Order: sequence, then C-alpha cells, then structure tokens
Amino acid sequence: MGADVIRALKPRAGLLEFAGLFGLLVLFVVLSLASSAFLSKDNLLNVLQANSDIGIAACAGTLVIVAGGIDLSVGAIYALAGVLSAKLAISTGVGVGILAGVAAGAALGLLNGLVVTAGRVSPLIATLAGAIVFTGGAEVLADQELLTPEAAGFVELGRDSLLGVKYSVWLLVVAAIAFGFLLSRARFGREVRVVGSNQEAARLSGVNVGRVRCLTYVLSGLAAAVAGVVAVSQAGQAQSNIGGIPYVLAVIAAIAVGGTSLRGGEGAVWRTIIGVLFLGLVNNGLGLLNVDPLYNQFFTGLLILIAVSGEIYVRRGSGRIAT
Amino acid sequence: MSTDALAANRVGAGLNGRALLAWARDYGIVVALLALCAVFAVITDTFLTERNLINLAQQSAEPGLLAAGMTVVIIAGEFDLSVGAILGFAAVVAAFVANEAGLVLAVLAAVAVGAGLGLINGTIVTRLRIQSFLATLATQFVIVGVAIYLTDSSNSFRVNDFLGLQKFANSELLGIQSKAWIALAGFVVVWALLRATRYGKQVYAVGGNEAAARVAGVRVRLIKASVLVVSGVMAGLAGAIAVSDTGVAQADGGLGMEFTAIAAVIIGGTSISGGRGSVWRTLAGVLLLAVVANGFTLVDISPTYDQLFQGGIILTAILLDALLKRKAR
Repeated sequence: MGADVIRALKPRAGLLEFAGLFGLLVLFVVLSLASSAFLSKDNLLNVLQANSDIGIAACAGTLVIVAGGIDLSVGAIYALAGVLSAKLAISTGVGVGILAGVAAGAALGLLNGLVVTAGRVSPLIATLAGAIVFTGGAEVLADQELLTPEAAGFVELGRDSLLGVKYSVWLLVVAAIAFGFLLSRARFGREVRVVGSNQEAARLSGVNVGRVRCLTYVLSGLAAAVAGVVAVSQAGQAQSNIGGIPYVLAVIAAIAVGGTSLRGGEGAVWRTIIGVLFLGLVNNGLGLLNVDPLYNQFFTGLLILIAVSGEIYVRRGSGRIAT
Repeated sequence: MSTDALAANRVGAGLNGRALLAWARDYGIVVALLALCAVFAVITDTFLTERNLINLAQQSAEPGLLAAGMTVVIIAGEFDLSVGAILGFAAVVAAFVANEAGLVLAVLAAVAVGAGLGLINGTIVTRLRIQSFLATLATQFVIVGVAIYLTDSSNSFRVNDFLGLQKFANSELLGIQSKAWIALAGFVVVWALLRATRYGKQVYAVGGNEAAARVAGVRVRLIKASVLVVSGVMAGLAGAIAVSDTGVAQADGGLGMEFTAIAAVIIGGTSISGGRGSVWRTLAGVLLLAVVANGFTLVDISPTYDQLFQGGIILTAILLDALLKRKAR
C-alpha cells in the first residue's frame, strides 16, 4: 500500500506532459489572490504584449530545438533586423524598412543553417559565432546612434490595436498557429521530429536532413527578425544593444519551461506558448510585488535550471539523480 | 611525364593540400598575428612603440585570464558562458572584503568565490547532467542577479582604500603593470597544468573521447567539474584585477567578456569539439584580438567595426576547424 502510494507520486513522463500547464494555472491562481491588480483585462493584455516578441521567436525556435539544434543568434538577429528596419524606415520608407528587416533575418538564418549543415559546425558554436558577427553588423548599421523612426506607418505596427488587442499580440497568435501547424500537422514537422530524434534513421528513410535542419534556422531567423521589427516599432527607437543574450535566454527559457526537450526529437509549439505565458506571469508578478526588474533575468536563469534538470530527472525515470 | 608520376604527383598534391590546411590551423594564428603587427607597424608610427605595446599587454590581462581558463574547459569538451558573470561577482566580493580586511584577503576572497561558483557550475553539469553551455548560460544570470543583490541593487560598489588596493593590479615591474604579469603567470600555470601533469592528460582524454577515458579509469565527471573550477578561479582572479584597477566593482561589469574569451580560444586553433589544443595558442588569440582593436583605433577605423571583424575571424577559424576534421576522416 505504502509502496503503491510512493509509486503513484513518483513523477512520470506522462505527468510531465502537463507540468508546464499545471504550473501556469497554479501561478495564475496565486497571482490572482496575491494582487488585486493582476486579474484585469488590461494587465493580462499587457503581459501578452510585453512578451509577444519573445514568443514569436520562441515558436520558431521550438522547431530548431525539436530538430536537434539550437539558435543562440536570435538576440543578435533581433537587434540587426530592428536597427535595419528603423534605419530604412527613416531614410527610405516604412514598407521597405519592414521588409528589409524581415528579409535580413531570413538571410542570416540561412547563413546559420549553411554553416551548421554544409560547414558541419555544431549548432551551438555556429550560432554563437553568428551572434557575434550579427551583433557586429547591428553595431555598424546603428553607428552608435539611437534611431527614432517616427513615420506613422512604422510605429502603428507596434502600437495600434485590432479588436482591442495590439497587432504584436495578433502576430504572436499567427506565429503560434502557423508554427504549431507546421510542427504537428505538416509533413515538414514530421521530418523535423524524425531528424531530431535520429538523424541516421531520417537519412535512411529518405529525409533530406541538411535541408530540414537548414530550414529550421531560416524560420528562426525570420521570426526573430519579425520580433525585432515589432519591438522597435513598439518602442519607437532602435539601438544595437537591444535583444542580445538576455533575449536568447528568455527564448530558450520559454521553450524549456514549456517542456520541449532540449535534446531534440519531441516538443510542441503550444508548450512553448505556455512557457512564454509562464515567464510573462512570473515577471509580471514580480513587478506587482515591487521586485526590481534588474532581477528578472535572475529568475529566468533559475527557471531554466529548474525546468531542464526537472526534465532530465523525470526522463531518467528511476528517480535517481546521481549514479 | 609517365602516368605513374602523374598519379604520384596528384597524391602528393592532395597530401600537400591537407598538410597546408593542418599547418594553417597549427601556425596560422602566429602568422596572422605577426602579419597584423607588421601591417600596423608600417602604416602607423604609434603601434610599434614601447608605450603602446605595454598598453596592449596590460589591457589583455582580464580577457587573457578568462581565456586561459576557458582553454582548459574547451579542451575537456565543455563550455563556460558564466566567466564574465563570475568576474563581476568576485569583484564585488573583493571590494567588500577590501573595505573590511585589506588587500590580501580581498584577492584571496575573489579567487575563493570564483572557485566556489565554478564548483556550483561543475556540480550542476555533472550531477544534474545539464549540458554545460546551457547550464552556464543560465547560471550566468543567476550569478549576476546575486551580485546585484549584494550591491543593494545599485550594481556597483566602491572601494574605500583605492590606493592600497591598486597595488595588486597596478604595481610596476620592469615598466609593466602587475596585472599583465599576473595574467602571464596564469598562462604559465595553465600551460604547465596541461602539459606536465597527469591531470592535464586526463583533461585531453576526456575531451577527446569520453567513453575511452572512462574505460581507461579516468574519473570523467570529476575532471569535468574540475575544469569549471579552473575557469572559475581564473575569472575570480580577473575580478580581483578589475576592482583593483578601477576601485569600483561592477556586478555586471564582466558580462560579454565570456565571448572574447571563447573567441580567443577558437581563433588560437584549439579544437572546439574538445581533446586538442593548447594554451599558448589562446595567448596568441588574445593578443590578436587586442592588436586588431588597438590597430583599428590607431588607424582611425571606428570601433563599431571591431565586433564585426572579430566575428569574421572567429567564423573563419571555425570553418577551418570543421574542414580539417572532415579531411582527417
């Protein structure tokens, strides 16, 4: 009897499926009780808006990670695309700026993908080097200036609403649906999962492994660029130091906290959305409790450690930490 | 020429191509460093002056120490993205201790804190089995968070007796400040550790082939945890230098320096997949990055191009490394 109870309480992979969702609900209830300001439409919409840029890149980043890769350059692409779009929106035109920013993101993603697949460099190193190069590019573009695009069309993208909800949040919804569909329903998503769980098997069953992996980086670069452009239009200003490693940390944290395995092969975009909301609520709650925002990254880092070690712990099944 | 001779020639050319690539990886860094120095010596009057070269050496002290430690970590097949954060944390602790108990204890405290944080990293990597780059990406921000907390959320902490503390980093020997000598000593120690001790051999073995090392009786997890302690100690020492140099400890002051350290290791030609490399290469890598930044300033190229250029060199080094690995197969 006692043993049965212990066995029932032991964490299992099946339960872990919903650990993120469960955590989110608990946090939601706790915050509702702890702060009267929390449970209002405005506050919740604010949480969504404040985290939409992280969410957009995290949705695409989920595909990279499920395919067994990782993209540490999203923060740099975010910055470069943001700066480029602001610069062109000032000098040339709003439409050109937005398109060029997004296209640059896809191109840099392609570069990452080629270094990883054709160059056979480990994704970690390739995208770390990419991050340094792209940050350098953003610095050259910005030339130590604070760019402030004031054209109405540009700032509208980040600030205007449709049905009472900001465009940036709608973009997050679109990204979640599009990448979610791609990963769980489309043939490409199936290939992504096969590549992530067993490259050799994928190759033998006729999947073009290099093309699939490369494409995930293109999508990740594209999404990070959209996020950067949206964030810049929201803020109305761009500098080369936006995004960066803190942004990468938040994106990876959202994916890991949602429960997607960082070792590849399995995961889902809806999980990532849960991770984004969880991190968003944590930061929002800390703000409502008057904790200095200086500490937000501290908690993000801690959550990554908890989420990843929890996943590893449960996957190893027997409940042993050490061997 | 007979067909045999042609074939032999072709084989020779293939070998030569490979040998050339291998040579480029082994000594490319030295050639590149010398070439850059030569270029800057010719096109500027100021580069090849005693004052400028001494400045170069002194400015390379902090990134140099981080890079020396990072070399050991990368040879063991791991990564440490938290060294910049450890530097800031150690600097804050050193400033506290300096105000209470003086210079010597402050330096010892910084090193001890570095070792302790490295041990925490090592424990997380080996016990919780989180990949080191991910674990240290996360601990980086946890460490900075605690360091900021230690400064009462002000992010910086001032030393009372700056003149006294300055002795550690800014005393002069042969006209060169002690921080450069300390960094050089760090390189020599790491070099001896890797070359002349059993521990060094085990680090190479673990990075080269973990399973084989385990079979051969190497305590793999102990080695992996210990390399993170080594890089923590180096970062702690760099933190002591930082605070002794400026009199102010900044909690997040080291953030970003981990990239310079990794860049120096990679540019030097130490293999990023572990098992191969040496610390003199890293020293050359550190100097190369410093010469580029210094030379760019001297010829009036805007510092905004520094990082782009740095990234370009790193990317080249990485692709060369990958190309060589494929050829070797």
